[in-house]
Amino acid sequence: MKTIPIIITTDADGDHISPAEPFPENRIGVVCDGQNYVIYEPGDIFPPPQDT
Amino acid sequence: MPQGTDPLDIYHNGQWYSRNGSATVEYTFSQSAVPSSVTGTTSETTLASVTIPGGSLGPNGALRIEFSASWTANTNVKTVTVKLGGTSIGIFSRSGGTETGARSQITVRNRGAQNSQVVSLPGSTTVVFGVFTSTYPLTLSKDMSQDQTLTITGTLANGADTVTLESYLVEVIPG
Repeated sequence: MKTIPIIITTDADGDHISPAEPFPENRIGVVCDGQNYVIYEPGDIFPPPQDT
Repeated sequence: MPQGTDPLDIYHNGQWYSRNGSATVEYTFSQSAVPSSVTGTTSETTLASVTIPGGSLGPNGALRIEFSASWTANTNVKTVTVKLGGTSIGIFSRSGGTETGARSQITVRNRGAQNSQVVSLPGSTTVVFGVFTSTYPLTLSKDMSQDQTLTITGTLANGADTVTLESYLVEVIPG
């Protein structure tokens, strides 16, 4: 698992989030939590367990 | 003529695609089934980004984008937006309480020039998932002889929800 920082840009439509770098090729899932893009890689548990 | 020697040929992901003369070979330009989600924010969030190389369509070529998305089943609005060169070409919003996802498709066609396009959507405002928010049909003036970025974004009205781009397929139909 690794994280990619987000870039926030703002225009008349509001805030827009994009990754600071391209997603890696070997990802098995991506989740943006509003703070970072969390990149799940082979061997990681995806989807992540839900809070109960 | 071997592919790659014609100046109109396109090189992508280690392969040459011929676009010499009238040849129109449709090919999958980019696709992914890796889920990409957003939660915890109400900001529009990029879930996928693809660079369309300049000149890959030709003056009568087309770009076909197919995708599927899933979301939290509640009445909060969840939106998936497809953008070309920063312009929204399809805005798909749903707030059905029991719905969990949908699939849709957009086609962007050049109209005899690389800087004139028409966008085809699955329907108008009355069609489930295919929501068109402005005058139909949408026309564009993107210079497709230059690289253009295609993005698929997700936006939540309630940051506690989740919207997931489950898969996407981008096809190029040169012409």
